[in-house]
Amino acid sequence: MDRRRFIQAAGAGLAGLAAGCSAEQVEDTPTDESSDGGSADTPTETPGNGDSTATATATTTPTGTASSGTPTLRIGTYGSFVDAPSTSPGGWVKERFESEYDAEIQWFAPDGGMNYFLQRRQQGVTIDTDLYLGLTPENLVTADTGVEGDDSLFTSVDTSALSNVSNVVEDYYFDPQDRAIPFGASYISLVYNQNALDERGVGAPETFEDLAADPYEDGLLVPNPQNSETGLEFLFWTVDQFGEDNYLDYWSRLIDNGARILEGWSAAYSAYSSDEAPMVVSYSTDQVFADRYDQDMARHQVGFPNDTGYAYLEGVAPFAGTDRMDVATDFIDFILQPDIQAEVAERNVALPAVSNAELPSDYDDLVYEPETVVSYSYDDLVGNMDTWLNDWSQQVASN
Amino acid sequence: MERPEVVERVGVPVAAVATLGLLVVMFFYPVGTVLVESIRVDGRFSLEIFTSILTSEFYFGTFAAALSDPAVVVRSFPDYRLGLFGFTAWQALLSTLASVVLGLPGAWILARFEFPGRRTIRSLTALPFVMPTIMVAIGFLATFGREGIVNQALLAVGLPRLELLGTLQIIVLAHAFYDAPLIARITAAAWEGVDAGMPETARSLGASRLRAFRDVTLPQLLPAILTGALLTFIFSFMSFAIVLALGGLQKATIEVWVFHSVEQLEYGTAAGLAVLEIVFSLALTYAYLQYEARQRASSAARPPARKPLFGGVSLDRLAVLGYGAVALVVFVLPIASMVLASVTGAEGFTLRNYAFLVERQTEAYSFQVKPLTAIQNSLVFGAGTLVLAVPMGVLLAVVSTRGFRGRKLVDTLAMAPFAVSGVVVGLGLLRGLVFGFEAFGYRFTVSGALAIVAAHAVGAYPFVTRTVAPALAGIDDSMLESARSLGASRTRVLLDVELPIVVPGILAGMAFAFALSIGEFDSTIILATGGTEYTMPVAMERFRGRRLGPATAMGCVLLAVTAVSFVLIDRLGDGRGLNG
Amino acid sequence: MGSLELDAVRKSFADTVALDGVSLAIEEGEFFTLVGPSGCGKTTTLRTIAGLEAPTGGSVRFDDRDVAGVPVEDRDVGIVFQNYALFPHMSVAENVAYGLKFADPPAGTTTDERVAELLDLVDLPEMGGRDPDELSGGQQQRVALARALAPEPEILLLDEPMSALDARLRETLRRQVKSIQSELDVTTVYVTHDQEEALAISDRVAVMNGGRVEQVGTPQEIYERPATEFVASFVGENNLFSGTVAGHDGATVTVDVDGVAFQVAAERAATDDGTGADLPAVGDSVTFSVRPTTLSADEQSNRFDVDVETGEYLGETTRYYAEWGDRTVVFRTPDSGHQGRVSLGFDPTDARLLD
Repeated sequence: MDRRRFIQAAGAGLAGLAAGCSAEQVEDTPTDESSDGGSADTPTETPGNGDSTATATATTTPTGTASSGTPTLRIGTYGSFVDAPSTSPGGWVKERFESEYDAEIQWFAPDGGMNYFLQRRQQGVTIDTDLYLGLTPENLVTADTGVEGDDSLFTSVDTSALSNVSNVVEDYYFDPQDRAIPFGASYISLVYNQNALDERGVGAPETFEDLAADPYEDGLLVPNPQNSETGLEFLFWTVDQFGEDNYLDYWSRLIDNGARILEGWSAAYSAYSSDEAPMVVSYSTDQVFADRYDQDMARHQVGFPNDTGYAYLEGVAPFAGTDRMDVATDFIDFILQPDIQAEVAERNVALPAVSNAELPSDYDDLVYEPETVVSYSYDDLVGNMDTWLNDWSQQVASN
Repeated sequence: MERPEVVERVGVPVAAVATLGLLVVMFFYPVGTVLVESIRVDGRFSLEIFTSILTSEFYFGTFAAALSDPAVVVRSFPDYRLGLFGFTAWQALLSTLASVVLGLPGAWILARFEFPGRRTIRSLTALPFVMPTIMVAIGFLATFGREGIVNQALLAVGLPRLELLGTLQIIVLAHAFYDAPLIARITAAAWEGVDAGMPETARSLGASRLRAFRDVTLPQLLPAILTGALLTFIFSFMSFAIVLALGGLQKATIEVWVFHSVEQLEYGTAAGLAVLEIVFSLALTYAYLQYEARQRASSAARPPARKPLFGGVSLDRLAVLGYGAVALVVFVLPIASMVLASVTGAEGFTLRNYAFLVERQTEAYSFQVKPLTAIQNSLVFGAGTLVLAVPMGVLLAVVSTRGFRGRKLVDTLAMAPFAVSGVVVGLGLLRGLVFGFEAFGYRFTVSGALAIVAAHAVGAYPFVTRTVAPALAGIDDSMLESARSLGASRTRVLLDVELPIVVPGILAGMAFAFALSIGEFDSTIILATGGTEYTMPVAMERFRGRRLGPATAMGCVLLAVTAVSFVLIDRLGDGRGLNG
Repeated sequence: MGSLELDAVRKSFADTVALDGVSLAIEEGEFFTLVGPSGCGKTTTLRTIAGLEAPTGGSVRFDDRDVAGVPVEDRDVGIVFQNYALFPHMSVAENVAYGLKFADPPAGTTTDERVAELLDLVDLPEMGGRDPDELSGGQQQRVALARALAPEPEILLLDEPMSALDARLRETLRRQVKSIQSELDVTTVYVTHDQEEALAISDRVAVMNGGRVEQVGTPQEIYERPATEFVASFVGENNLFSGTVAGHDGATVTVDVDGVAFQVAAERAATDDGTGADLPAVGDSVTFSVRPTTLSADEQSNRFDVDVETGEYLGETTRYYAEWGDRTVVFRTPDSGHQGRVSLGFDPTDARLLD
């Protein structure tokens, strides 16, 4: 080891590492004011180059535009909206929006989802993102209970600027403070493999009790409610079905019957695809995807136990403190347009939120709706959600 | 040429202080910001988090109940509840036993037989340990799942299916996958240090081969075996991702709960559990260091002779064959299944999954995960990890071989990353450094990429130290005294004589650190939030989707990169790593 | 330059006393050997001189400079260890050159020249490019010597450098070491457990036992006039007889050993300072030594009969172990045929009274 060369290499390495540190001046204004550059999560093209350079505009104005050129709209969302291996609407939405508006979209999908932004707010760090797309009622409850006092993580838009807002299905609204505008929906349901059930000599599962019964033993895969919306809403569904006092007992029977809790929707669904079990908790829009990719429909049967299904609602809301409210409003207006809604629904394997979306004619054949829709409102969830989840978690993990 | 004397005299102490500083910034401070939440309730100091955990039956089972009502111990006999901690310890114990049982025969084969490719296989024994959990989970699913290879083979010969996923057995097996090869490696190295004359003497006195092994060789192997066993126990105790993936929530360990609490932003509980975990693991780490010190990596006057592996039938060779079959199923099959799954689809053989990788690379948007970027990032982060972890690890190894009071304590503290979960480290780095801290009217932040390198380096440097320290300790004193008698100061002796001699050990540590960095997942996923800092394991997670296909293709790429870089660096050091 | 003095040096480790008051005065250019059985403290003494151990009492002086507290790298010593300790990652030439990083080569030479010079001196020319593991034991030892000598140390210390070599090689090498030493005229302290080696090459020898110096003297003095029983039995072979003084008449002392009267020359072993001591009085218990080579069947004085038990044929002589009463007597003679009962005798002047 030539000593000099070693020291050179080490020095270069250390210099590279040091480039990752930065110091920026703390403004006296509330830290929610988004500033240009300087914060650590600005996406850059090359790794290790996330350092900040002090930009010319160190101060911010509430309605300022960026230094020059097209405004950038940063949208936070969940991973599979922009980057699923199978299908995701994110790229198409970006291209289409940018072709119609003079603005640029930057998608940002942190692993923790909405909680990531809540964390930053709690730590007093700039959020630096303008919208969150993919809010569920549970997200809102967590966000609202997680901030101090009357502060809110999100804010509302001026709905008069949204041309198609009157066609948003009334039942889909879930935010009592009118911040989140619904943009998509689906139903939590069972997805099962008829071939596999045939081999067992059983028919399709009809009720929740069926799932906990012998013929269906070792039959169900459930995404972990702790880290999956799907699983969490399935849990709420059982609370509704059995009541607060009995749902835990149901789950104990369900698990005794061999149901398995896997760590996320993707883990559960891909295990289902690998024939690990004949049934999985997923979405009733499953056949939209299967049809698109010419799958064997027998493996994509949709089931509604007790003829019920849980409403899965998604909304979009601007972050409080964004200085791009105008572009954000444009975006929400855009995403509510009928043709956009149709395309997004198909690509996201979901249902549109507006009643006048121009869906392909066979869409209805592929999407199943339950006779009775179960749904917990924001008010139902506040104060209960955490208890239900914790009680359930402790019971399942108990030894 | 003469260097300034002052540089030499202060060389080691200055480097020690710099290392300490780095450790504080990269590890102690970030982890501290998380752990402090365990004693802070509503802004004031309080121990209620600990009391509530310790008295909770969920965490401590019957023991907790007994704290308030000792009679319950008698009443509920023999149905004791383990609680989360009890279960975690129990599965760790089983995992350790399984790893020892599966690892010792491997050690026997490595130490006592000669066969082509022995050196490479020996290098590869460290590989399972660094595989990311997502890869192992997918591999095990493909191997032991309902429609996995094992079951298909069983069905083909008319045997019933094995329902393995979701059981304690599969978790134990997965832990053995990780740790048994390591035990084999460490024990084999110790075995090669046992002088052949000893068992031969025992046999000349009338002991059978087995007796001679039991009475003479085995006692000399015990420190090595215990070292490996303790390491296995610690890692199995701290395990979470593989537990969740293969066992499901029903088989949750403490770490699963820490992770869950962190996700729910319940930092108090997470910190409380993490503190209790750390106390337990540090105690075990201390014990591990004691045993490691007892292993002198001294070369035997005459190492045991090797028998050729291939040859006529003998009892030995039959045993090797039997073990080979088991080893194949446990260690090779999961990886092979993943490779197989990557080229298999509903329609049979297909390259569709790899096509996906290529497509993604060429057509993806900037906000999507691209394979080549993931590879690049992994390699760059790996290099960054080396820049930090190797000097730190070597320096701590030097410190640990100097004698001074409290050395064992310093050693244990330096090994603290063993005892702290990747989740806590990642979270600490995120909140402490990436989100930044305010001082003097400025907010100091660190980029996500740098934080990722820090997380990797923190996880890697203990392995560098544990590889280099025994090598340093094994250098004959007379070598150092000769150098000193020729005029070299303590620092010069270190630079001119000690370090060059342990270069093989340093290289082995480097290989390990690099591979660990590539496979790191728990901290990286928390820190790779900038959108472009994803690594190969993170990409695997992203590509999982509805089918495993794309993820397995990415996994094969990861495997290839890891294996190649690992064997390359490790063979440079002649394959002696982790007390080799 | 190069004189060395130890003054009442003590060294204790945890629960043992390794050196119990060792005093030595070694002259410049002298080849001084410390010899004794294992554990006698000779290596500890060497390490104390080197600075690898710090004495718990007493002082060490180089040329009247007290070197207490001076670390080994600042003492001008060269060391050759029993296992040579060559640096495995450096070539032979790099090994030899190592000390010259910290001290300039002698005036007028470069490092390379100095290395070549020393390799010539130890008879390993052109071997500079080799690696230590390519060399034989003897060659490694010579490289270690060259390395120690390259920086022109004031004092050369050798700790049992020959122990790992076979007998023939040992003899060759020690001659070489001796000749190099006298050519360079460097003060040398040599440690060995082999008393024959000590006698062969030293200017002076210190016999050590149990952390103390029993006797210091030239090889002849040590061999021919051992001062104590220990020295007498350790250096060379010896027979020791204990008995009571029956009488003396000026030149000889009569000692009664188990009823047999022996005449022993009255001259006692010289003590360190050369003064003689008074003759023992009648009735005192004394011990005298007789070398096996001076016991002979032909010698007429002091005759006694022994029963030969075994004989070891050594070529030039045969060593016989014989029984006399309940003692074992050893004698050596060129005559290889002795068996059974043999009558032996020795000249009174060949017997030494011991302290």
